[in-house]
Amino acid sequence: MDIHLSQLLDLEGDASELLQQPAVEVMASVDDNRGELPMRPANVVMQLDRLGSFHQFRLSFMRTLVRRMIAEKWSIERTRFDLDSDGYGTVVYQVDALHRRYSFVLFSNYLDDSLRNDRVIANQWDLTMALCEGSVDCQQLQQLRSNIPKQEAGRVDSRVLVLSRANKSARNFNYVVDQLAQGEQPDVDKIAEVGYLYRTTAAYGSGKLGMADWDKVRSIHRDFARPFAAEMFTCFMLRHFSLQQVDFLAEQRAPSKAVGLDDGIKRFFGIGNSTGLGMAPFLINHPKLINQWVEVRETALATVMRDGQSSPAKHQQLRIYVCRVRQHLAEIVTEDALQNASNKLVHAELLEVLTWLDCVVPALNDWQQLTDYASKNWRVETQELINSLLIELYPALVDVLENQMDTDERYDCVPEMPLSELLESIRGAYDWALQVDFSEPVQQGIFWYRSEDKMEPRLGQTDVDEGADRQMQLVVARSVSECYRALNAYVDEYPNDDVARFLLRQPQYRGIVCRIQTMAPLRYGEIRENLAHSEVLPIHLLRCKLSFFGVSKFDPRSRLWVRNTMFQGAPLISDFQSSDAQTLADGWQFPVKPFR
Amino acid sequence: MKVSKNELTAALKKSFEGLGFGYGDYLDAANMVVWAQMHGLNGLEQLCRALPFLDGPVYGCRALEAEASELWIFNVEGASILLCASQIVDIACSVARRQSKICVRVDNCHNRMFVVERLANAAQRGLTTMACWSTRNTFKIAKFEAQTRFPKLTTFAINNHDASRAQSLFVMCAVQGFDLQTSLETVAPLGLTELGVGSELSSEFFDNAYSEALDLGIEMPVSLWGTLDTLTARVLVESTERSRAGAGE
Repeated sequence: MDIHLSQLLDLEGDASELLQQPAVEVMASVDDNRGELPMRPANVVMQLDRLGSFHQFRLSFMRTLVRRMIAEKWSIERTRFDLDSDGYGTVVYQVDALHRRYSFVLFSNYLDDSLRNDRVIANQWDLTMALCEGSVDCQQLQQLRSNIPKQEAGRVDSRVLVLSRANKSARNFNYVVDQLAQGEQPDVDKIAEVGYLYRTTAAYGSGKLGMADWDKVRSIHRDFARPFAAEMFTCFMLRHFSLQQVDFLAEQRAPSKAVGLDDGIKRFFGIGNSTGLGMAPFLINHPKLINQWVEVRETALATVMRDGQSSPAKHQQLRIYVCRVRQHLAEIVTEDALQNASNKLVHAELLEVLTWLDCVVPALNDWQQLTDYASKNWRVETQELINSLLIELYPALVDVLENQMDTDERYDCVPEMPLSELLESIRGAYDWALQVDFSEPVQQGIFWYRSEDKMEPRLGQTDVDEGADRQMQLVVARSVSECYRALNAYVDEYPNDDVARFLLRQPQYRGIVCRIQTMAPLRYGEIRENLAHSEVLPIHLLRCKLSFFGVSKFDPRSRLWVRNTMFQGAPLISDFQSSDAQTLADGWQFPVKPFR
Repeated sequence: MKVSKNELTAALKKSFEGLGFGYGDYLDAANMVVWAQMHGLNGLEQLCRALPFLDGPVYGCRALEAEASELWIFNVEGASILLCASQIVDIACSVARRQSKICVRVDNCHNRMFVVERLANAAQRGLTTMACWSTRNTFKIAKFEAQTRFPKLTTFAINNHDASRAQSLFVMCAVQGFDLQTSLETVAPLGLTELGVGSELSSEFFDNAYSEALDLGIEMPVSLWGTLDTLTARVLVESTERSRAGAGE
């Protein structure tokens, strides 16, 4: 049985058990007369351009990971740091989390500049790394050294949770080392242009290349029992290493003169990320998971709308957040003209938000007034930024949801369902798909396929490129349309049959029928876009997923891949035990330049 | 070499797709093999034997030979159960929901053990499910109580092999509260009373096998992994200068 999160929040007695974490404060505040949560409808939320306008929010995976590490006082110690004077060698960190011990193992190798490539098809990297369960002995370390640097061409075992790789930022790395070796801190303005020392191009988990299955991670390694938590942690450790490595190199180069990187600047360094088309099929092939993520975000927003008390203190806090986001946007450097224009427009509209708040606040009763105004007057991206900030205002209302990002991914057929009911489901939940006229060439202008190059997903142009006969099954709208047409014809002949009988005679529809039956009852369900349309923007799919990861500073390199920054502004490991750790844990969203 | 459950599932999906299985069918077939392997039933060994017969025109017709009230009969003409188990178990579930219980006989069917995953799936949705089939010297019964994850799999030694049912599979489903024992008695080769004491694999066996495979990974013959790669290559598209542009370069 599927339980909507909004129902969970309305439970009193059993809810805290279901949510698996202390939720006393929220549950104690439940008022039976509050009414239903004002959830936004799927036809608004699940439009691709809106999903592609989402920004990080309190429950994004990096945010929840950082809060968890600090709240649970994770201990992270460097147990091996065998680097030569050029920074090449082997490094191991021992991680003692709440439930278990892990090892983060990293290999730093020389890479010729000409071989540095962010694409999936690359086969050498500056850094390669793995997150492993337990401690790593010499024998395992040797196995890892033989395989991790090969990435997809190597094999690991189920003691490994995540495998990743990264390349140096050509613009930043040497500059920062040079500065530190000269006894100077790097110029923050320069750092703001890029924001990282290394850029990761993949973080693999969930059983790839022989690693531990997700089922194992979530059942045994509870410290990482949230989607992508282990992958995010790996990137966090990569950032930690990068900061230690530049300090080390500067010290090697000029022992008497070098200075360590200032902590404030360190926090302003994140990890770069380059995400391409390979991430897009994930969103189509895991619709229950995506539904769950969106449901959590929307539940958080709806809870704030219903229960978030609008007060002078909250108004002021929102103003501060808006100013911070404006500064954040102004500091983004991208060569992409469209992204630049968009950033500028959102920056300008956020100024209007401040003006609106000044005018309206005396009469502001609830946040619905703001979101209603936003939906009528500002761009979708501005609307979604405001939503992220509203969620930010009420940790006590929304943090209870942070363990709800996972779901089972069974896709069951309901064979006894009458065909009339299935048709009704399609008309109700897939009306958007039925509206696409696939006889128009533009609606089938592209196709998705896997290349023989590391099975990299690529786009082909229909009737121009090879491979349409082997295309991936990602065009849900077309599959639903075809199934719907076949069902109508079938029902004319066999009006009393059920799904089982239909599939017996027309088994080619089994996959899409199971999907429809699974997804139709869910509140948000499918991404409402025809992915075969000539003008589709896959980058929206990437941005949607990345927003749930919690990245910032989107820098599109084409409509098919995007660079971004992870963990920029996040606390350092040395901050975990500090007296203001809690403040740092929560205060790093939309990072801005540190004061110098 | 060791592979993970997710990795094996992904490889099998693409391999079955490469063999021409349709969307839906290749997902189900992958799940059937993975379930058998993860639960200690040597799914990969069975797959090795099945693969040569799967590499041909994909069987697409599920002939219904009779539609009596309590016994449906299919002749799948030598096809692997990997290709038709979903449709057959779906029919069994649908009819059982309507009339409390049903028995389906599938004739001329291969790789019958793989049906167990489909039964597990139906049991999770609240039905009591059972399958039985004969081999040259044994009679096997896999039974799931409703809402359970693991079956009771019993193997009986038999002396009198019924050649006419050599490749038949019986699938039985019932709603909760209805017993499948009488259905079983009508299909057992010589009647249950004449069968010797069976060897039984319990829930504990399947639970342990699953936990071990999850924790330590699945032993994968290198040659089979190579075969799966070859089958997967059928759905991959040649990489060209132009195609690289289709990845954003």
